[in-house]
Amino acid sequence: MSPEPATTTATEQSRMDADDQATTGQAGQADRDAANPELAAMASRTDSIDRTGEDTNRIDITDLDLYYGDFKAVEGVTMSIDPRAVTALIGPSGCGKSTFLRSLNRLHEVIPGAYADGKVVLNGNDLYGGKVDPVLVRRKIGMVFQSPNPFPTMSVAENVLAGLRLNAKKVPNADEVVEKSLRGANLWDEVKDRLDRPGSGLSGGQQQRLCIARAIAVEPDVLLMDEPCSALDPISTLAIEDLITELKEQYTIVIVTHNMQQAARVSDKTGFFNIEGTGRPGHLVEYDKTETMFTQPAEEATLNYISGRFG
Amino acid sequence: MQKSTPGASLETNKLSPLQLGGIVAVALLIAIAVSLPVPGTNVTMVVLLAGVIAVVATYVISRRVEGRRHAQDRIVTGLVTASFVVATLPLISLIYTTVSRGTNRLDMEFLTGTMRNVVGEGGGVSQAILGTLIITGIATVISVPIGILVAIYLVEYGRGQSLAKGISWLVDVMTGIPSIVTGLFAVGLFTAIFDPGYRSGFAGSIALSVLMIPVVVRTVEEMLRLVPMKLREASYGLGVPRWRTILKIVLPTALPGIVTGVILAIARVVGETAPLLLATGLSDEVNLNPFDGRMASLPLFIYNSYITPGVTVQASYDRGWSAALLLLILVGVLFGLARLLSAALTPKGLK
Repeated sequence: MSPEPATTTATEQSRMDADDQATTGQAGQADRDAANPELAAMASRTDSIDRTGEDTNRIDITDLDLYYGDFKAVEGVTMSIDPRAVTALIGPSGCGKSTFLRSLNRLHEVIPGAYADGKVVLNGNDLYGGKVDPVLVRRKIGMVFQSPNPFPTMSVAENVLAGLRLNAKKVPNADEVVEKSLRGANLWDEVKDRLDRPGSGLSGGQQQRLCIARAIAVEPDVLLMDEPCSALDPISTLAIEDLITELKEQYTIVIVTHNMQQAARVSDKTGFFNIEGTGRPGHLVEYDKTETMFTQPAEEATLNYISGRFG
Repeated sequence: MQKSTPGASLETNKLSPLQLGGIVAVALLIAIAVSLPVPGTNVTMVVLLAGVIAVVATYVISRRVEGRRHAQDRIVTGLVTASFVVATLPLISLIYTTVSRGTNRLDMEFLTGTMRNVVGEGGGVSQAILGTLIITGIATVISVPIGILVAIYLVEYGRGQSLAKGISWLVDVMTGIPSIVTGLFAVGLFTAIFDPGYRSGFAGSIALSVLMIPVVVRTVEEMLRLVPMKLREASYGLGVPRWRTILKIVLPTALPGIVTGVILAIARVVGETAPLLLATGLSDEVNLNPFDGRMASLPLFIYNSYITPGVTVQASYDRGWSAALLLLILVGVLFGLARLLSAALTPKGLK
């Protein structure tokens, strides 16, 4: 694999991805096919789509409502997330943007009582279709969380490989995967001499980049980031923002952030979520090119929020 | 609230440790002086009286020298320390008595011999040591898997469900079952299956399991709840199924606590007497088959040494105390093991 992901073009990368799947994914593929014919079909369909195509890995969300038991947290979101671009979600606390993000890889429903109603379509598959296995959805759509959460029982290298090994995949080229993923997360030079040390011994910023390396090691199509810099200092934040800019060459990235400068710096498109009041569901107020959102938004609420005249 | 004047001193007078020591010493002297003329006083009473005098005197002096807040602090510190001493005294006394009386017979004959054909002095407890290890070992093998699986269900799968709430309530009830009742349960169970009068080590293990399972469930449950939700979500986010997340992420992270909990649960039942009295009975000789016949155990050996001392009463009492010391050592070793294992298993990043 290329040691310099920054210089790798999207075309080259997707070809390598295809190669990779052919070599490392065979055992898992066979398991999957046997276990779930529908998903096998879904997987092969995804593979057969030209990954350099304009609309591969586009996410189309239609009329999505999200609930926690009886409480409706998010209402009527319809938006289309561009592939190989960064989409930022901004809005006040409690407006449902994190809930919405978690619904994109069906992580929302791991909370007891939580469920979703609506359509989320990725590469022709409705992620909330009746027979879809959420576990397989999450393998296609990775997630980086607010606070760094490396597995404390594992070393740096084991953390990177966790997504593969925990899915019982044999990883014959483990060293290669570790190096490639850590390089992809701009962490290789800092940790290459302590790959066998505990992952939780790294600094906060390094831990977060380790979590990104862990997420990209399984080679997902989409990367979701839930306020990935909120627990980090400005220098680590800058490192992660640079990384996001590099990663969008390959991945569709959706990032939730409270930091509007960050949204302006890294994203191509921005969605603004808001709530009318406590107990009311959050909804998508406006969604447009980041430049437009920050200069001449269509809605007054967006302008008020962005210019700090909120509430 | 009244504002202090600008420039007011921030310093207060303080009692030095030497002065505090002086107060305690004077209190002790006063207590001795007061007690001496009274007939029938003993050391405990003098110490208690000295303690009361010291606490009161410290309060009065501190209030004059240091002010009200410090005086209150001193009196509460005094009361907390006194409570601690009162709580630990029985333990110290217990250990002292058991060690001083138990060492009389702690010899090779005692550790390797049995009570077979022993009427007077001599004899040993190897049959009881082996019996206790076998019975407790089987009880552990039964309880630990059941307890861990129940805890996993309660924490990982049953959250908020009425079945889980029901099970949780039943576990609470189980915690409160008197140990003799578990013995009766085992006897009832086995006499229903086999003949009346059936006694075996295994029946005792079943009785102990009933005591042990709720302890294991509760401690493992606590440990699993301590595993941060964000680790589970990280694993789900990588497309790892729930059962594998539990097996590879949750359990390894909670392992040090689970091991400690299991060992403490063993320590909890290793000294149980009542259930074994009913379900296992007594034996003077080694019986290694837990499914056939009565089996000796350390707690019952101690009980029996005091209840039926036979002709040479002192020899029997000595054996009882030495067996008690052995049991205490066993529990101590288990506690030590729990700490060592817990430290060894804790991931380096969490230390």
